[in-house]
Amino acid sequence: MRQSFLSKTSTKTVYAFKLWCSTSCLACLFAFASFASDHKETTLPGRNMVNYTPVQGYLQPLKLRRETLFEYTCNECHRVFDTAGDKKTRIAEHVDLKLNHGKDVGCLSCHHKTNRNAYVTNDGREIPSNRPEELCSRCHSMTYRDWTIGAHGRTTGAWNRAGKGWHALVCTECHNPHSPQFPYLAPMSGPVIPKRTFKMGVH
Amino acid sequence: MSDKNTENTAGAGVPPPEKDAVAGKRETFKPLSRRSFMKASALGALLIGGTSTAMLPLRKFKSDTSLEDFFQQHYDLLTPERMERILTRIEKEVKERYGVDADVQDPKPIPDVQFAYALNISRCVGCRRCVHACVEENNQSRDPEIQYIRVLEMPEGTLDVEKSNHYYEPDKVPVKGKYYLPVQCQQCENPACVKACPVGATWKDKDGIVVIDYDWCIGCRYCEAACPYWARRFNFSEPKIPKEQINPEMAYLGNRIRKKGVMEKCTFCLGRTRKGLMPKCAEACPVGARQFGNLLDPDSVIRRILREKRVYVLKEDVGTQPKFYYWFDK
Repeated sequence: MRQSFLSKTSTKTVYAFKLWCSTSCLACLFAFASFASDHKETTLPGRNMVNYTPVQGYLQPLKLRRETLFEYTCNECHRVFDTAGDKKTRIAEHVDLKLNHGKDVGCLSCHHKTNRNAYVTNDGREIPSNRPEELCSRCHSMTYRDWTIGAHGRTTGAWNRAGKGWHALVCTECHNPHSPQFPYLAPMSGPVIPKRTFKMGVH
Repeated sequence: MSDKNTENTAGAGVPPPEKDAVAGKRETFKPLSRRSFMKASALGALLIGGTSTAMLPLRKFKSDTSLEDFFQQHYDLLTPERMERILTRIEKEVKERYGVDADVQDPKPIPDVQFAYALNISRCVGCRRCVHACVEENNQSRDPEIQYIRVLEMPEGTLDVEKSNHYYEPDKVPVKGKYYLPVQCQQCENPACVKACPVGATWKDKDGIVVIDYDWCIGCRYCEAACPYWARRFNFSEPKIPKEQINPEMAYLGNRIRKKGVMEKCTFCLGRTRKGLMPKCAEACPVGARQFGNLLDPDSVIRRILREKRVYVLKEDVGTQPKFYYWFDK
């Protein structure tokens, strides 16, 4: 697919693309060297024992971000690249992407064919990238209905909808859209049985 | 001669019987014997020692602030100025004992609000993050650790809490064939614990939260026995909390640091919820199983869940009317 795409384009475009690749590679390396020291795992000291972030944080669906602080949107590559038609081939950003989301779901089931910064509706219209719940509601309509009344998903901030800081997390803030099922968690410690006390049911 | 002598003395005007009486008096007025001295001093020492031992608790009052604590009135009788003084006293005590600059407040119930909780048991995975977020928020003792929330691991196909286990420690949750039922204070409409309290140290506030005045509690643990949900905890020893883990935002009826010998329990994080924030357990739940809201607002999450979902309460038959609703959607 990629070969055919390259053969179709003119040699000028290929050269321009190669130049762009090499410069961006250099830029990446430089950025990585300069910012590597800033990218340490930060653990919050003090009283925060519990991690309040969602299990699978996927906060900014469109802000791709590697070890460098170099951010770019999907379309910046995909205006040049076409999508692989088959679901198995993955290159560049998507090598470590595992699609485990229902049966017979491919890239273009959710992503728009021409505008890769948007999602797609059933009839081919665009859904803006900051409203993933509309995309998910195509299949998960009952869950979407629950989410709109507040019964599904996490709410943070105020308990009152009108309250300050009220925020209902959208689908992709908790679920990884490519593998939406939550991973199994290790439980935190349970009730402590005081010394000199019989364990319940054991004598 | 002897007669003459007696006559002479008699002639001096002192009659012989009187002379005998004087001699007798001198005999009884002896100097203090060793035995009686020992008796008297032992008695005295016992008296002084006994009194000082009886007054020993008074020695613990290092300053007049603690005396104020001693003569503190019931919460209902406290004037705002007096409450202000009590709050500053608590801040001072926290500073002395733990070295933390706490901000102790006494948030009042919001009018037209009845707090209620809804928990989706088909979502809960039993990871116990709510338990530890609660410990973190509410300044519970870390040693011995006091936890308000108990997560029951239940076998699928029953709602009988007798078959549950709350000491589960698998590597990963949820375990297949089990579901999880977190239990905490149900903030009953008809609370059995309030009826059991002999001194009025616990009561149902206007927003439906059952609160405890830790300064008024005598630690008789009747309420612990009365609660059908095992929601109340007793401070068997002085709470031990590492300084850096203390939450400095405290509420008088809520998460201020307790003392030895008083009851405590979940208060729906009233220091947060009465200011409009979510309780900490609801914030911490990674799967979004916990919802919290106002029962009197027809558009609130709670009312919508009550309207549209299959909801049940724990131990409905005991008549406590909990405001903690469990529901399931699968």
